Amino acid sequence: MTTIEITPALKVWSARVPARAVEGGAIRRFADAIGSDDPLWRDPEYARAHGFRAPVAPPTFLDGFKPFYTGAPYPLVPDDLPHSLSASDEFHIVEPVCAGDVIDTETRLTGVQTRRRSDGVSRIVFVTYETVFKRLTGHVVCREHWTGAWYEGGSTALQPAVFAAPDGDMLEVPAVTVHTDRVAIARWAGAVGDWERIHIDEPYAVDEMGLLSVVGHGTRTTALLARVLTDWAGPAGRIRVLRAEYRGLAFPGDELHARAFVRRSADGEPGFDRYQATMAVTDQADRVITRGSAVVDLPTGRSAS
Amino acid sequence: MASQVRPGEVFVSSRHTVEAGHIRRFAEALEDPNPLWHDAAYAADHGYRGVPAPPTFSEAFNPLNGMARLPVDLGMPHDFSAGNRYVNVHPLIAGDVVDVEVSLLRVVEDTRGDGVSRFVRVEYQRDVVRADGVLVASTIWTHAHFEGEPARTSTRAFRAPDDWARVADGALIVDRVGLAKWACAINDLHPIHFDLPYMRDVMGFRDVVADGWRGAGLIARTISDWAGPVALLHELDIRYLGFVYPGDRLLAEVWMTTDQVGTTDRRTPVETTLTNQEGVVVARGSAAVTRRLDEPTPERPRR
Repeated sequence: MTTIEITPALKVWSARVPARAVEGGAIRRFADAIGSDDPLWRDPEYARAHGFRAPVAPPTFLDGFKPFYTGAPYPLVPDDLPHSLSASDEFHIVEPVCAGDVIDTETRLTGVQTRRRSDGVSRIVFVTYETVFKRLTGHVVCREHWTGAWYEGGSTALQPAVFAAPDGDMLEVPAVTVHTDRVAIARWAGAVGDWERIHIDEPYAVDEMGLLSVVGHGTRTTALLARVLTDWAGPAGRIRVLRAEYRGLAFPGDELHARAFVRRSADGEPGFDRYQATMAVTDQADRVITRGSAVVDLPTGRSAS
Repeated sequence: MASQVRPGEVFVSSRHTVEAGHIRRFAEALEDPNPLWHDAAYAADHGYRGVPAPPTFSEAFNPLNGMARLPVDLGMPHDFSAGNRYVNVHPLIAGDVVDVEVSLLRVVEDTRGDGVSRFVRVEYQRDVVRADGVLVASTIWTHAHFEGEPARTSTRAFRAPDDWARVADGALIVDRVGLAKWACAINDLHPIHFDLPYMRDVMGFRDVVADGWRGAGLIARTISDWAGPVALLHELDIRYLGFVYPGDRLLAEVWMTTDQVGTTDRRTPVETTLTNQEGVVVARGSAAVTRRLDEPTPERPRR
């Protein structure tokens, strides 16, 4: 099997978006696109009352600052592999950002893995990029690891499974439901700047890509996984780590349910109780579109229920 | 009239901050690379106190955008956006806080060519007032409602009058991604702009349709390129005459009369047309540029 290596050129490749401001209007559009009316994202008074300088950006907001969304080309596109999709996303959040913050963003290629698909023949190549979001002082606020998959063989590498609640002593928190239609998809595209034609251009998605219709963005489901946690954790809660694995496609007409199950864990930072979370976004047929996990800190003494 | 709104009354107002990222997305949606809309140093070199917004940017603050029902809903079977008259007094600058006030200007009842069917023009006025009380921009939007047969749009190719000379042009290929970018930039998230099954199966159109205001934006882009960075598009009066679909190639043209062509004064009023790849006019109007008025310097806090 031909494998793809990280060449010296790829090792030093990077793309930057310097000094981009977190704008209040952009935060509002992001919140609108996941149906969240949480005042933490919108109301300066409310944000101040909870110790923030200004309205806060939802946990995955900075994803939209990635250079790939402002025209940077992928440095590695295995051109003999006809299909691609987003495989997973992982955020390590050091601290929240607020409206008015200015962020330097830099993306590097950190990993390439060549594997065989389940048919034993076709190749699939996973390419992982790390994006670091810093304040102008150099202080890192968030690291994101995104893995894209380029592959041959059958046109979809996704095998949606039926959702099963996690075993054991995990507590389910209130779920979030949002509708997906073409307006909602366009709203998300505008909120993060992801204008891939597969999400917007019906004839392209159907005639050239062989799909039923345009498809929803995986990143929106990741933002929904974060939303079900922030709705539960409240303004003093902190999502430290958020992982999402893309398992299925969401189409217009789908009802998406974001569900989360939490369990208290032993470790944690001073002043916080730590929780491990398992989440999923499912559609109306209970198929898993995206599954995830997270580490969430709540201020000590706050009940998890 | 099925409306609680009275002429002259401000029926919706909202406060907005002009954000640099929003200006950038607006310009991108018009495929407008003019550095004036994103480069603070370039803007400062041309006397601006910050990054200015393109001439029709206040469309992004139109509270009527994306509304399923307009404030004056006459219950007639057909309606369309008939025209816009944009007046700019000062440029909007990133960081400005503005109040946007929309009032009903007037309702004009008329009869169509068949002598029976009603044709009603509803005019809304949208004023943009800066926090220091200065009126920055005012726009009149005409929306037409009518009964009877659907309107037929012209299919004849445009021929400029013999005494017209073209002084500037700008092109834009309409694609679905561009329509979605525009809809997001001005918060006009209406399914007619990107829901193909809805347009075909429910509305009976052959495809989604473009927003007429994007055509006005293309004309404004073309005039701004021609007039240069110190000019302000003072007035743009546009009538919308035909539908624009994905795949269309739009051409905005700016015209003067042949006896004016020699003038170097960009303040000479101009005519403008927007045609598609078949030469059919989808919008036309007139425009006037002024040299930018000196802006009052905002008071700086004392140290």
